[in-house]
Amino acid sequence: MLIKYLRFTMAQNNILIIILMSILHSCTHKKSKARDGLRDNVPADYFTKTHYATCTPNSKPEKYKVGDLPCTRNEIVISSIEKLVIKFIVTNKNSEDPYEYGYKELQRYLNGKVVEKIKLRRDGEPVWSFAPFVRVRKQTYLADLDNDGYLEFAVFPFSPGSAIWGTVRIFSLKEKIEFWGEGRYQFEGDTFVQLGCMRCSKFSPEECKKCY
Amino acid sequence: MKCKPGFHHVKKHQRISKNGTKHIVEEHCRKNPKSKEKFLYRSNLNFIYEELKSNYKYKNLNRIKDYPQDKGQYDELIQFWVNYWKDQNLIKDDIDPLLVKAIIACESSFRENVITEMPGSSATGLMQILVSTMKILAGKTSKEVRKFNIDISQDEAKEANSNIAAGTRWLIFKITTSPWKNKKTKNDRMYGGVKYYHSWNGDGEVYADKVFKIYNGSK
Repeated sequence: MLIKYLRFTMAQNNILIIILMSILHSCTHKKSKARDGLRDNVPADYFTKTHYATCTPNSKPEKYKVGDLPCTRNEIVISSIEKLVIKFIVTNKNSEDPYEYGYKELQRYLNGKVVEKIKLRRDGEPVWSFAPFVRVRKQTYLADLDNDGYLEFAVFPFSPGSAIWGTVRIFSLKEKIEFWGEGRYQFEGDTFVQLGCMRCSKFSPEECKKCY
Repeated sequence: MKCKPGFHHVKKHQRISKNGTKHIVEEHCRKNPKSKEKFLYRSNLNFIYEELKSNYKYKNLNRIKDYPQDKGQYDELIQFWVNYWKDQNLIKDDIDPLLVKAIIACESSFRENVITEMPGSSATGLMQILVSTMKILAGKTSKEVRKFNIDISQDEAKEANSNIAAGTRWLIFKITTSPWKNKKTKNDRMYGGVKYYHSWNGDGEVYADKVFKIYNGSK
């Protein structure tokens, strides 16, 4: 009888300790989360965990980890005869100056031949040499954003700093490729372009064009 | 573990020889492959700091105003890396270590292990370096950084030495490649670097204003 009673009280104590520890844990967790949007503790698998992103409507999900750019691509196939390609053009392979080393170029192919080239890095811009196509709308790289009958696509000049939002350039696929405007892109997550010019307060293609 | 530049750290591991016998290989420094001959890893950054720190003189930097977390604990590290990169001819201008301190205040409030709470972001440590930035510094995403590539992991970026070494390297890269690099005054060149340290769009200027306000208020 005494042994049974002792076992019962021990079990009670253990439960009490577990409850106390869980309360304590939740309190410290809240405290660390509440500071300036920064946290000291993250789950151990936060950055090693594999996430999945579906890049095109019928494609298989692609694996990525936090810090990767999901769905980064250098080629968009528009039709059986037309495609867009982003290539790195090396201008001076021996140079240690990243400006002189090379730049990214958008090329439009028609029947296997380059019919249009656009140098993506503009004069006076900081160095960036990685510029993938990003999804202009959820699940798609091509969409008619302004209902004018022409498709738009987005290129993300990737020059990271400590900010996680970057600016994308949107182009309109007309007879000649035209600059259409800017959008925002959260490059470390599985996202698509958020329309709205970085330097304009409201979304408006016309206003965005004025930014340049 | 410290390894001199040109070598990298190899953890203790098991090796199976051709006849099937297993033996333990103790941790050691191994020569880098030719493609990564000049890469700097965490063990190299530790080696450089420990071996060369006596070559420089250090002073007590001003405390960052309104940041009681600043107890001068990173003053030596900041001064060391700023001077070290300058000695490697990565930059002509002298960077005021107090400016780096202002960036740390702005980014992490002097907390070494912090990771931003922004969903999907990997900004880590004192200078809130992104994994994407680390990949560019290591030459994995692109070949923008052409010399003194630093290859550290997310966990390693939580250490003050690795973080400040990589953060100051990245800041110098931005100062020397930003469109502001040819500005007449040093202050403008620094402003450009800080702006692009954050981002190359309009948000970068808001950030640089904030950092310079902290910096000027602590001079």
